[in-house]
Amino acid sequence: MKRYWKLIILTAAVILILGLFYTKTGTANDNGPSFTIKKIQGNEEEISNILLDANYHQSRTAGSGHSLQISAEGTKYFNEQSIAEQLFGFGWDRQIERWQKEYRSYMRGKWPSLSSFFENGKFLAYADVNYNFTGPIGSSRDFTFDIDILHKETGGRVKRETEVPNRNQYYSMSVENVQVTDNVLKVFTSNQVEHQGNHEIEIHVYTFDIQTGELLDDKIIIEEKESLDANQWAEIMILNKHEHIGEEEYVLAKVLNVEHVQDAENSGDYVEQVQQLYFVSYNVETGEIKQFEIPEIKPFAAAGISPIPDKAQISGSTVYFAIFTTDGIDVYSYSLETNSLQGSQKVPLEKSFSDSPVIKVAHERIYIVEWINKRDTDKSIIVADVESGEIVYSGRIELQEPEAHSGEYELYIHDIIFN
Amino acid sequence: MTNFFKLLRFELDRFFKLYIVLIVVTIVSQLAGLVIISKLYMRRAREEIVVNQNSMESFLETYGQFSLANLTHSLWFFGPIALCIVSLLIYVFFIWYRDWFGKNTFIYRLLMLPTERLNVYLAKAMTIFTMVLGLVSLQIVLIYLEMNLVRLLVPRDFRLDLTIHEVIRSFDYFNILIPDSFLGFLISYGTGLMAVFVLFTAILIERSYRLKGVFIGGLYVAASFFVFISPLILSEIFLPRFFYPIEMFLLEVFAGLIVMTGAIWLGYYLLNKKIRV
Repeated sequence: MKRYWKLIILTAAVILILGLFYTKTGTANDNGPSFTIKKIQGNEEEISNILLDANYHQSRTAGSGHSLQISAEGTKYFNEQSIAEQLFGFGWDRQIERWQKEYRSYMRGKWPSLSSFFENGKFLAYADVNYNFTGPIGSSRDFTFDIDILHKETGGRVKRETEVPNRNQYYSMSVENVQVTDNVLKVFTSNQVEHQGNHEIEIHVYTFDIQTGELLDDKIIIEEKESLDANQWAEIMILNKHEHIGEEEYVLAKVLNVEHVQDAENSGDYVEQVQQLYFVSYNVETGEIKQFEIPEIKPFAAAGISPIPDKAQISGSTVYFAIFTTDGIDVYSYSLETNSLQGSQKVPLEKSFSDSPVIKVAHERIYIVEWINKRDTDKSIIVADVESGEIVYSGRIELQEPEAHSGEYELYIHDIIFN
Repeated sequence: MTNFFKLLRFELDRFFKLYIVLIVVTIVSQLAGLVIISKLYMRRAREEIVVNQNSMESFLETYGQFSLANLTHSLWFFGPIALCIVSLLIYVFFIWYRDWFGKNTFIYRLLMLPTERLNVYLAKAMTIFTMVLGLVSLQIVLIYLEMNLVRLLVPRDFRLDLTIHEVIRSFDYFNILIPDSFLGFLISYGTGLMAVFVLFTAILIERSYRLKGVFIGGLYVAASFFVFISPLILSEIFLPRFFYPIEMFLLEVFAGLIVMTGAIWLGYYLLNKKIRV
């Protein structure tokens, strides 16, 4: 026995130390501190359905920070997901997670991007465009639609692969929105075309039969040059692409033409000047396309502030534009039915808010959340009524047990999610 | 069984002196490193505040609070870790080759022992494995020591106390060496043990077929790696996103077990039938 002491001591030490380490220190709760949303003013009900997607960084320690979600109830850290998910997970989206649980076999092999999905009481539908790398990058590709429609009641599926019509014209395609209406599936895509050296963007709507998955129609909603020369460029995008997975009355796109011009007054610097800004609405039910301008939303480009929203919040036939200004947020509501501005409200913001808060409009409310929060950040959440502009809630993101977590930190908010 | 432990004890004894050196170097370098960089930090603080008349706030703003992350980012800390890793990697090869090339061809006696020859193989693998875990345990104890030592060296106002997990995360590769959870630990060191078995078997292939064996051994390692990542290839190329994370995980565990059993079985076969002395 005496000759075995090294082996015995070494093994015993290893078992004791690793055993203690993995049983005593705990793991998951050690990610970082907990946060809650603390009311300053207003009705707490207003924030009971929101989740904030956030990232926590402790100052002066390296590392990429930790993903977490904060709600009125508390904090959930990203690391609390299982090892299998950490190693082989394909993203973190609550909606997609829910579908994966509920429709396990249907969700197999699907790209987890919300803009590819549609869900209502009857259907869960998915549309994506696949291609194989055949030629060099930039050459046309063999784009193929991958359609999969699940009939919720019967569990029946319509799965079909279809060649994209005129597919060798495009060198990139992406699905922006999917809708189901009256026995048809409508897939909105943004297609990039190379045309005599010019880049063009085409917004298409492809219509499929919901019973057979057969492609019925291919229609171009917008066709616009993306870049004419070095000083001019355009931005063509569908504004309601993410998060909108349910039925919508309208799909709305924005077309923005910008030119770089030399600013004579200001030391000859190049500034961006908006040449043209218009919108195109597509009525999902009737297929009616309307092109219009909203003169009230003035296309100006001031330093550092993007005046034209990349996202619009559409509810029914009303679209809300939230535009950040120097002293607050202007909320415009615009009717897509009558094509007229219905109202505009200013939500005042205090100075403590930094340049680009996270803004969302939903359920007749506008939610404004400071995107960078520190220990001494005071007010960081404001909820206001979109009709009246009245602030119905204000609060802050509060560190729990501040005495247990010394040091400075940064808490970045990426997104507001509605439960 | 007793034969296995005798061999294990024997192999451990043979490396023990060098092992103690690694342990001492790690302890001395990390503790001395902590003392030195904290002293440097405090000296700079004194210079800024007393000599240059700066406020403490402005000093902290420029240099930040002192935490163990300052240590883990220094060579004092990861130098000895790298040394230990490299030493043990070399020893994976050395543990076999010295029996052939050392004094009086020791392998001859080892293989003549009245015991299963596989015991020699397993004892060598367990020696490496136990020593790796010993160093990992040492590092955990050292971090706790350092967490207490830093409290004596740096005044509270200049110090940011990190939890053990924050210290571990502050060093990039630590989440592989000391994973957060026990399951993560099993994954890291299970994979490590598998790699040791594969390398051992590759060494035995070389010892059996000599020059030709170098080539075959290389092919064998490549094949093992391919089997191990085959679920990933399957899910990335042929069935994108078909398997859910938990299914991928189980497939990977299964692939790892196949590689490990394959290595041990092949090692057993070579030791009994093909090995040349």
